[in-house]
Order: sequence, then structure tokens, then C-alpha cells
Amino acid sequence: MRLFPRRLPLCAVVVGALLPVAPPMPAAAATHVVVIDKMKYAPVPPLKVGDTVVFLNRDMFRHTVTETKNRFNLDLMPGAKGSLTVNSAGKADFYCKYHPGMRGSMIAK
Amino acid sequence: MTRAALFIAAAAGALAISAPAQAAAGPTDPQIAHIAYTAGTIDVEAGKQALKMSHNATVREFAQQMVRDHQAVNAKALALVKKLKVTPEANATSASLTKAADAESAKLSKLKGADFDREYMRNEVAFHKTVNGALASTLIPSAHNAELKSLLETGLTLFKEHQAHAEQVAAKLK
Repeated sequence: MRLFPRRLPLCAVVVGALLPVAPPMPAAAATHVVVIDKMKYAPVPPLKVGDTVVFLNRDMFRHTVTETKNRFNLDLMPGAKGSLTVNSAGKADFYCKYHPGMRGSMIAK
Repeated sequence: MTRAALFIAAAAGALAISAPAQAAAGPTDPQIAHIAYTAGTIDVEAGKQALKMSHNATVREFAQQMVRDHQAVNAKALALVKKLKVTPEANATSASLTKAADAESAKLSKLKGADFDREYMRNEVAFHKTVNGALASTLIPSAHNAELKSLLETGLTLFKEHQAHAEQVAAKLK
């Protein structure tokens, strides 16, 4: 699975979503919001190539979403969000660099 | 007596000096809030001391995380007691924690370089281990308010991470 991180400040994500000049998404692509809270990642739903995953850090702590093979890394302050776009099928495991007991995974078909 | 060892003694002492009915039920929510906040403040101050004294990049990174995470928990705790209109209640456990922390800080202030790093990390392991034990065995089971209990549970998850991290760093320094 290839994932390109698109870490954006909250305001940039909101503004970008409203601008008509934003690049068009593929018809079948979906955006999934995954909340980080109380030292846990919410489960990532099954993904398709072209989908976007937005990680929203609702926790009081700084967290990362770091792929175990270092293919992507989002460093999120409390309240921040960052997104990834799925570019190929496969599985990716990730963890928090600051709290390595926090772990999650995502699968794209 | 180390900070960690004193915490155990202090926790036991706090129960013993409470009124008989409270002793059986454990510390009250205002007492728990005070103990948790005090423990967090102690580790923030220890982290700041390490950032002032240590030149070891790994130790400094750990200390920065302790300051950041414990300040975050304490900010949340302050907001919660304000919302609940609860006044944290000073108690023997908090006082003993502070006294032991002052002694440890004085001890650390006389050390430099690798000696400082080893003692700071040794104490961080012991401190988190003991606080985690107190959270799991006494503070969380005794908490009545659901939001306070939830915050303590998140704290325990976080502090277990800190303990594991501290053990890794301490092992590298030996």
C-alpha cells in the first residue's frame, strides 16, 4: 500500500475542501475520519485505492501516526488533523513514536 | 528513601490517618485529584531539571516528553475540577510526595553528566512504576466521579508508556 501524507493545519483542510479549485476526487473515493483519543486510535475501516484517511487527534497529548516501515509519518499536536491518500492495495501497520504501545493498522483493496 | 518508596509509604499512611469510614473506602475524589496533580507536577519539575542539567539527547527527549505529557494531564485535571466545582484537598500523601521529590531534586542537583542521567532515569522508572501501582490499586478503584475515573485511566495508560520508555532509556545508560 502506498500512502502519501498530507499533513495540513485544520484551517487549511477546511478551506481546501470548500474551494472549487480543489482537485477532483475519483468517483469511488471516500474520506474516512479516524479519531485518536484516550491513548488509542479508532479502528480504520476497510479502504479502497483512492480513499483518503484523515487522522484527527482529539487527545490531550501529541501523537504520531508512523508507519512501521517509515513509509509515512504524521505528527499531530492536540486538536490537529492530518491525512493520507491510499495509492495502492495492501496493509500498513502504524504506531505512535511518543507512545509506542499505541498501534493500529489499515488494509486497502 | 526514594521518591517511589516514599509514595508507597505515604499512600498507606494517608489511608491510615483518614477517618475509619474513609479508610475503608479509600481516598476521596478531592484527595485523589490532589495526589494525581501533585504527582504530575513533580514529574514536570523533574523533567525541567533534566533539561537544564543533561546533555544526553535521549534523556533530553524523554524529559521533554514528560514535561509535555504531564502538563497536558494536569491541565485537563484542572479543567475537570473547575467544571465539577471540586477543590483538591491537600493530604498526607501529597505532602510526602512533595517532600520526597524535593529530596530527590537536591540529590540530582549534586550530580553531573552520566551520573545525573543515570539517577534521573532510575528515579523515573521507580516513580512511574509506583504511581502506576497506586493508580491501579487505590486511586482508580476509589474514584467516584466517572470523569475523574476516566482521566485517571487515561493517565494510567499514558504512564505505563512512560515507564516502558524510561526502562528502555535507563537500560541504555548502564
